[in-house]
Amino acid sequence: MRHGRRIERFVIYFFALLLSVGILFPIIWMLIISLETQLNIFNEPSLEMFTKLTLSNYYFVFDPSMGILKDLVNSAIIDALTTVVALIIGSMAAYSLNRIQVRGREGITFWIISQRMMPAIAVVIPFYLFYEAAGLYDTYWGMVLAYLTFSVPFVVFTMGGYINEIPREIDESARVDGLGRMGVFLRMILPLSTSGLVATALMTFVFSWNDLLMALVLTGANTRTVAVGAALFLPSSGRGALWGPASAIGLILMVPTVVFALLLRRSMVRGLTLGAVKA
Amino acid sequence: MKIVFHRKHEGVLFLLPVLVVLLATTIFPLVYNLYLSVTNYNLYLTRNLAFVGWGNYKSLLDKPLYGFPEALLVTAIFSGISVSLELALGLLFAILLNQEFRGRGLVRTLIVLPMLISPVSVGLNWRLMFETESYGLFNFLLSLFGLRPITWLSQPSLALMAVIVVDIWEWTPLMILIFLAGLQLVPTAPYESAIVDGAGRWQIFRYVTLPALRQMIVIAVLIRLMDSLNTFTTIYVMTGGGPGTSTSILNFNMFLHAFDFGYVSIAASEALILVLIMIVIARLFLRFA
Repeated sequence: MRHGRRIERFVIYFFALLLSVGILFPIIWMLIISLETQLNIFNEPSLEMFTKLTLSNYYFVFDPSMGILKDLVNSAIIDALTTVVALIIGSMAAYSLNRIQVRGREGITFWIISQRMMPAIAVVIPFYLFYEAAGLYDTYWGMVLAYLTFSVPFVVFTMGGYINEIPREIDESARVDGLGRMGVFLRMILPLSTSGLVATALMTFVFSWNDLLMALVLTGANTRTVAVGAALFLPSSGRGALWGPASAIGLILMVPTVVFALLLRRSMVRGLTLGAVKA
Repeated sequence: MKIVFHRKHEGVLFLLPVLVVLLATTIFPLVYNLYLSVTNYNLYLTRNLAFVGWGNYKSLLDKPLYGFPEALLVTAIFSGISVSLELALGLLFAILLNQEFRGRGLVRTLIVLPMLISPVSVGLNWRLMFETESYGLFNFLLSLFGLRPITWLSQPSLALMAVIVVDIWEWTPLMILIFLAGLQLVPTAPYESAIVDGAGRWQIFRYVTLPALRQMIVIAVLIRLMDSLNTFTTIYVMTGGGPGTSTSILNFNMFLHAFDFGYVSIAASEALILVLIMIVIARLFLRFA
């Protein structure tokens, strides 16, 4: 029996280690390459590669001619606007669907869930044609509207979950005290779901930050996002095989999401499953 | 001035902005795609728009140029293999991580990384490792055993495999987290009685854990299947759909059609077929849930 337990311990640690190394190794590999000289990268890997590290790839990426700084600003603006708009209208809807008797509630709820089944590409083709005609192509608000496609259903569902956790007596007694619906929403519901709001906001930001498809099609020179800017370091985009700078921009792109990941583990599962699973 | 709304309509007013957005992001694209799919719209050719009826759908089936049947096959292989392996690995690691051990919190935090990291980074990251002409990790490992380098991303079946590996790396964590959440809801009593009855590890898994997780498994597989049918970034960054069309899943195929070749009407028809496929899959799954 004792022997069996020790084997079991060993198996658990072995797999836990395997999983951790499997996740971290690619990222560390990328970090190493981002610190190598362009010349070194085309040599065979060897121990020497650890001795001559340089930040030159990062300087290269941030060179004004690459436009990455502008891309970062564009992404920040678009993703922040998306987050704010989605959070405001999404939590209002979540409040309504969870606390007010609305006719057709089931149907609307199903509609919002089924939004998840709407392929981004099926949205992007009509949006592109419409944006070209309506002057929304390559504008911040055009991108925000496109990103609302996935962020609004996400906010409605995660916020719905958080609002449901607030005891009904709280807002019912506030109603009795004479507060209107808007008052209850602003003064009771929102303050009581602050942690949920923060988690939802961070996730919404990350989802927008991570999008490539919509930005690729709907942005141009003015509003190019950092995901599109990073994809320009692919060999197919005509600059040649710049693996060092590509690794550098890949890591830069990870920074905000890694920070949020560390803050968000618990609320993530709920978010990614549209509230179907709570962890 | 005080505006007083009729009580009955208050709920709708709160919902209104979201309903407008949904109208713009679901109904409008569907209707527009439907319209495009029965015309002969081309992004790069200016000619009179004509009504072609079922023409585009017929062309998808008849004309090899559009690679539609191949794209369906690639999609089935890509989604089928990656989601099944993610399910199997997800169950395995969830059961392991559900045990008490030192560093468990750390591992559970780490597994969030692959799915939150920008897919562009993930694609670049793995492309770097599969690459031949640079620091290709896998070729380096082969060289340690005296083997010749393999051009992973320029051979059709290997390229598809590479894209599947990346998808598994990226999304197995979601399965793990969902099942971990599920395992925490499973009561301990059935386990205790199974152990008393002398059930082995496999029997406990098969007759206690698996049935308890059934609902979670259906949800997890459904979500992954939907998202995997929409995979874009990994393929764009790693292979660009190639070599040839070997990694062009339906979703990617229509992106190339619409924005590389300008066959917007063809792409819109494919988009509607994809929506239909997803609705059918979702219906089938929700029956089991």
